[in-house]
Amino acid sequence: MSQIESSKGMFIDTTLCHGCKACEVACKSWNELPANSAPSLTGNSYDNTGKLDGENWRHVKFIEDISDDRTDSRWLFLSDSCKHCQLAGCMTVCPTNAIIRTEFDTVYIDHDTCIGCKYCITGCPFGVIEIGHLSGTAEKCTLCYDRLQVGQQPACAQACPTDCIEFGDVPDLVAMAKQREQFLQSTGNYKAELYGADKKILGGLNVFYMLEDKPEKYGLPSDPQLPQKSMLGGYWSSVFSLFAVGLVSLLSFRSYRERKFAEEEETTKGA
Amino acid sequence: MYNYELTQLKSPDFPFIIIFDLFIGGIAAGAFLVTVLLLAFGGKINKAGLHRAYYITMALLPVYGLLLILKLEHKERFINVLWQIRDGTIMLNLQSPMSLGAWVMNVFGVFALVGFLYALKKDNLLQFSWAQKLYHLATWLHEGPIAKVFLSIGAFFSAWFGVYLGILVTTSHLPAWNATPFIPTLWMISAVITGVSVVILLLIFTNRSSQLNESIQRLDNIVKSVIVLNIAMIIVFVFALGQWSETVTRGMFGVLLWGGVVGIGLLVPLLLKLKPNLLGLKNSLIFSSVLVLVGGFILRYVVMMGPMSYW
Repeated sequence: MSQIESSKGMFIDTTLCHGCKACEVACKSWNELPANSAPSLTGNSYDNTGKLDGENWRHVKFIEDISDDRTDSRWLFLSDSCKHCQLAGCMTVCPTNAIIRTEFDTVYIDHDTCIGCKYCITGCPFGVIEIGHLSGTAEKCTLCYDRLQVGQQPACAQACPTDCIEFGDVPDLVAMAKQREQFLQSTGNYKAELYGADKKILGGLNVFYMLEDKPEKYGLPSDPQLPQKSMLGGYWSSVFSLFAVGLVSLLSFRSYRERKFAEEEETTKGA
Repeated sequence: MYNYELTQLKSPDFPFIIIFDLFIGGIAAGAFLVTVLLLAFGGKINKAGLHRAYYITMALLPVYGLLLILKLEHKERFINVLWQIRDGTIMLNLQSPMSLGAWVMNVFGVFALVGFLYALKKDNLLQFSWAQKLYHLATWLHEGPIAKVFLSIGAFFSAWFGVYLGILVTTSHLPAWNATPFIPTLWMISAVITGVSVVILLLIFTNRSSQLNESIQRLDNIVKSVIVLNIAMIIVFVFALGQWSETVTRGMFGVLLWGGVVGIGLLVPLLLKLKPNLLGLKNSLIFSSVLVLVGGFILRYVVMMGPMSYW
């Protein structure tokens, strides 16, 4: 594991995103990710990427938010990617330590170490990771690790025409985000709130968001947890099962012995 | 439209081979666990032939390991689970059930090997002169002054191995898998009845002049009781799944769970064991044991594939 030199991240202000997908294109282009199979029309708004996966490390969500009585409607956009969590579920369950934290405090997959066991897929609460069809290893956003090493910002941030994706040191981004939150709320956007900027969500997300509505509206979990949350319960239930199986086996064993003894006694008496 | 659990979370899409893996691992653990417990704490009763369970564990454990490797995308890198090539250190991630499980499997494998040598000695098979010290050591560990300690430790690691197969599934974000802590319990109980059923089959087919009858009957008694426990546990499991219960009860999976596992795999064998005259004692034992195995396999199929296919 590398010594942390600086904590790099992104502040995604969804109020500024207009769904142009320049970030998706830049990501694919820089990282030389294969094109999606054509035609791939999802039928879901203008979102034909569909989801994050091994070939799509960035995905602009199109959310058509229509009121129940259908008198009001709006579009919400969210440029989604790996959040580079401080408590990264994928990293904790990886059996080969192929998922590591870089000197930029980002979460990175070492493709030479990954065995493609797929366990990290179940460990991510955001459904970010998937196996790349070409590499056969887990794939996700690297925050353009190669660009960071030479002092450049990630390709998506550079390509964003509205500065919806701000790249920088996380403490600076958080300060900027809090100011933005105050501004939005002061101008009547009372539902605007930050997601992942503080430690409440998985110890803090290096890639965090300004949302215009509750997280669930964007398909984000309101309180994501590490997968180990359910591990302890599993161990306790196992102790119970071992105790139960042991007891039942012992009793079954004894009942046989007693029955055999009774039968033998009867035979002896009869003789 | 953007329901978190349904649209964001991903299924790992583990290949079908994982069902065989869990099934075989369960049999290896269950057969070993019951055997060492009976050898250690079974008292002065007739335990003839029980040591032959070690053949089953020793035969299945390498198959389990092989299947584990086959399900990897990069099979040639399987050693990375035990050795961190990048840093040149031993690979152990205590937070990862898969990493911990790999080591537990290896330790369990050592106990299985010792048991195998003991069984060879008992049956006077493959007695190589160069390995006599090993046979003696295995016998001493099983019958010497520290036998109970050795067998207890073996029981602990076999149980841990059986349990890890379930913890592996529970430690995830796939809703049905993490909705209940009872998958390891279900796996363990099923491991015991499938493992003991294979031991019964082995003893039946190696039983000369009825000398193993008592051992077979005793083991059959255990299966009878644990079948009841297994049925109860399946019901508890389905209720504990709550809103996600339909992942294992809808459509084909429901038919397989209630008809295949509970009906054919547990209730019919229980009936045959309670009424052995239906098919004759030996046939009932064989048929019921085979059905228990079929049920154990289907159980793993339903619990693994049902939730994965939901996404």
